[in-house]
Amino acid sequence: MKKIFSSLLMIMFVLFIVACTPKKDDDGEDPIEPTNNGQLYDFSEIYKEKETITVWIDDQNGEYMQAVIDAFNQTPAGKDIIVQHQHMGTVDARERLKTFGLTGNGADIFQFPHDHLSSAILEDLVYALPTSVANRVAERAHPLGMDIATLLYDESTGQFGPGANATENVYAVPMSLESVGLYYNKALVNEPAETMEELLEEAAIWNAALASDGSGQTNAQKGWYYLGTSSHWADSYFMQTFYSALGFQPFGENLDDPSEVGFDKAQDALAWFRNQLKPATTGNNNHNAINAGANFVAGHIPYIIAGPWNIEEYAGTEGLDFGIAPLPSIDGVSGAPFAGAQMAAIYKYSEKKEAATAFLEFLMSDEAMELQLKMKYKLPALKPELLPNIDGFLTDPYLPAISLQLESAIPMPTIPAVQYYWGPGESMIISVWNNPATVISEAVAAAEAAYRAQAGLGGN
Amino acid sequence: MKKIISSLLVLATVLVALPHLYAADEATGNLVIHFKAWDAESYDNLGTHTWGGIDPHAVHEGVDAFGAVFTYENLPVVAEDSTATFGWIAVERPEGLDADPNWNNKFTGDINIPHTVVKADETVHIYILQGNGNSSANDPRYFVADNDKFNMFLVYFDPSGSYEENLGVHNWSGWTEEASGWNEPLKVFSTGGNTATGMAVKAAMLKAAPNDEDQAPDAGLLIYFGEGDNSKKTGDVKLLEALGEGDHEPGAVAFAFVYSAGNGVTHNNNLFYGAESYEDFAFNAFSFRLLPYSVDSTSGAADGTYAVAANQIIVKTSAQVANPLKDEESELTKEETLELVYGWFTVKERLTEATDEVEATYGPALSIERVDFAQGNDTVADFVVVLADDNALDITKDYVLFFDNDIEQAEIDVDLDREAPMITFPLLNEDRIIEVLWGEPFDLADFPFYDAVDNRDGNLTRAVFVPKGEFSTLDTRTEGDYIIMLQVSDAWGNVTQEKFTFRVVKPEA
Repeated sequence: MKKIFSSLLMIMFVLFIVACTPKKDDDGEDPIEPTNNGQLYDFSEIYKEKETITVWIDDQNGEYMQAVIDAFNQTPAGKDIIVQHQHMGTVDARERLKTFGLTGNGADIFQFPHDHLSSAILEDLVYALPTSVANRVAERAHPLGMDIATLLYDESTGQFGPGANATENVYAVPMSLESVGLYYNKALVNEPAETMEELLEEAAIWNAALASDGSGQTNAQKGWYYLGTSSHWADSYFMQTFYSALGFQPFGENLDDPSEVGFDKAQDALAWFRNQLKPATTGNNNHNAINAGANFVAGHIPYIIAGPWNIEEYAGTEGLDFGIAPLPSIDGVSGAPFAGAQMAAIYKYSEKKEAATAFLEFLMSDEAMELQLKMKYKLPALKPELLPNIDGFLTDPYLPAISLQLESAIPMPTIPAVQYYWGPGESMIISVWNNPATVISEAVAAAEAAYRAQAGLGGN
Repeated sequence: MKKIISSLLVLATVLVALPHLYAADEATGNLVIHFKAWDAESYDNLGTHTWGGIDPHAVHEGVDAFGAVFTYENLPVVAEDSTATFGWIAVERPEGLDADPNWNNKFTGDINIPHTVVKADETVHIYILQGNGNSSANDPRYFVADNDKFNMFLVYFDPSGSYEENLGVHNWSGWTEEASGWNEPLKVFSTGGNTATGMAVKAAMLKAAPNDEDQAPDAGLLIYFGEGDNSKKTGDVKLLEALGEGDHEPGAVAFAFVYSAGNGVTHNNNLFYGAESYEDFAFNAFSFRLLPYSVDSTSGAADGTYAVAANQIIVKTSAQVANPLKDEESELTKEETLELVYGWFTVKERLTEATDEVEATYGPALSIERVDFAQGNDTVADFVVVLADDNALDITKDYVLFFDNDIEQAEIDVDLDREAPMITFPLLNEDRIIEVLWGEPFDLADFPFYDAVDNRDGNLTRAVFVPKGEFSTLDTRTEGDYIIMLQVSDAWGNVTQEKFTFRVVKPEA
């Protein structure tokens, strides 16, 4: 019995050992369960539904805007926003927004020049930027651009300027700035004149000298006057530098008072135009007799008052090596030309203001400004101290000079009444310039009356 | 003594006259600018504002079959490399030269004509069309006739405004410049002017040298855009027919006006020869219509009349209509005037098509909530008709929009966006299954490429997203099939969803 019991115990032990022995593979190695490093992914968090905004910017072939949009989409703020650019002229933009805006078939952001701002506000198209956004814009924008983009407006009355319910708001982001300057032909001018006295003295000599073409005529007889303008001599925008040096600036100290067009203060300037400037620039001819742009391009004249919009033509002219100098002073007083701006704003009834704001602010970024400089050749509307951060600015042959000129510029008036300033102002200069018999005070009175009539201000 | 005085007088006369006799005369020439306004009434008080060496006109010197005529005499001939230009603007001058022009009634932008067009002892004729743009390198907006050639001033207008990028002419038998071959159009057109609504009008000045008999050759052309017969806009346009009967000298200018009547056109019903036929052309080309839906071939922007959403129809008229809100004599309130404008539009479902015997039948008018337009403008040509919420358009049905403001009547089929966008996976097999490794983190680069395109909205790839829910997750910790769904919508609201599968598989041991 004992043997049987021992044998059973032995068998059970063997069975136990066999049962507990790990199973072996055919190759004799142990199998290993792989490590699970898998994860759960929710693609709705990665491929999110994006918001689409429409941007109307004047960019015919769209290459500049596509580059800006691509850069924006690389930013955290822009990665989930689809920006749809449509080329739109600045006038068209306002017109189309009036019709298509309310149904969401217009733009969320649109572009316009300085003189469209007040009209766009009156047409109920422009969204006043919230204070936080406006503050961020102010941190980067050129003060002139900020001035132009900021308006005191009473929405209840539709009136600009001081008023009981008027509030000051920033309505747009300035994208680029421009101003006229003194462009000179380096082959004819060693050191550009710093004063008009100096320039006019040189002009008298130049104009009387024989022209270089062997015609036997003087420069004046050829129409190659020492100083020209790329517009005409009755264009108040171009003449503002002289006006300001001689004590006249329209619309009061802050350029926003429609009741103070102030032609009366232009009398000294008009006398100077007639007695000093005219003989040196057109002789006995009319204000628009000389095509100075063609003369400058042909290398016939040393100086022309021109703007950044002329650079493309001048720079593309073979053999013309030109520079840009500050506008000369008169009697020690520096001129202050008008500065204009291209601006972008958010449509007032956009339903995508958050996304639109993100893109609007991106337009002021170094990256977007650099693209604008390189692809559209515009001076970024940034504070002067920020401009060196824009690649290509410091090495550009012309833009630093334009930026320097802006230091003495004044913002273009943006009140609606400015549209009634140009016509009477032009007629006033024409009558003084072209007609020696015109009594200046009478020309001034006529301009004042014409302005007030057009602006609906009644008599004095 | 008498003799001495006489001799001295003769001598003095000779001395005075000699320099004049030997002085070189300054070469001069004349210009005649012919200006075409679309509406003959525009010639009243039509003058010019000019600069750069020509004087303004208080009013034109007359109106011929083509348009108003302005003459400039004794202009100096300049060197061929001169870049100087004459500046010219056609503008109403109701008070002549004593006051500013009426800049609110300007018929051209700044037209810059090079001084080099002036030819010594010649009268050069220049043709300008009404428009709102300035001269540019691509669109000078003036057309100079050659006094040594026979000229054809060809005007072409597409009421839809959708000019093909490759638009030009195929021409033959005597033109100074001819197309190199069929389907290679000679791109002669530039924007010569604009209609009152701002639509571009194309124009070209073609020239043909006189033949051996000093007569005009039998030169011909057709307008097309280089994609075979179906791209023809006209049949043959012939120089001799445009010149008309009678004898013609080199320098003559023939006129041909064409409006687009669609593609594959050879009948020439849309062709009008001679300046006298302009009115017939204008009636057909500029008559009031609701412009059909079109897409700009360059920008891809939509234009014309179409439903942009189920409750919104964008309407574009071929001509501006007066805005009653700006009618100072109206006694209606603003609300009443807006109701009046809303009443100009009627939208109905078309139940049955018209046949030769039976007129079409329509359902009841859909209720219109409002009509958006530029309320501050004197005239308008763009509207958005907003339908009431319960009157949304059904893309399975057909609708007609009727316009009637008591002056103009028109109707048009409403273009609906009946197609949803398409999402495609260019690199996936038909089964759209992508295997991913179990137990490994997912590499986002393995998410499949996709494209989304819409017939109206173009490329919508960036708008594609994965809706959160049943078909948005992948768990690489667990074997199995995970269906992922992509979704995209077009502007109309048509939605497309497409799915593919991630198959999580354990690596084989």
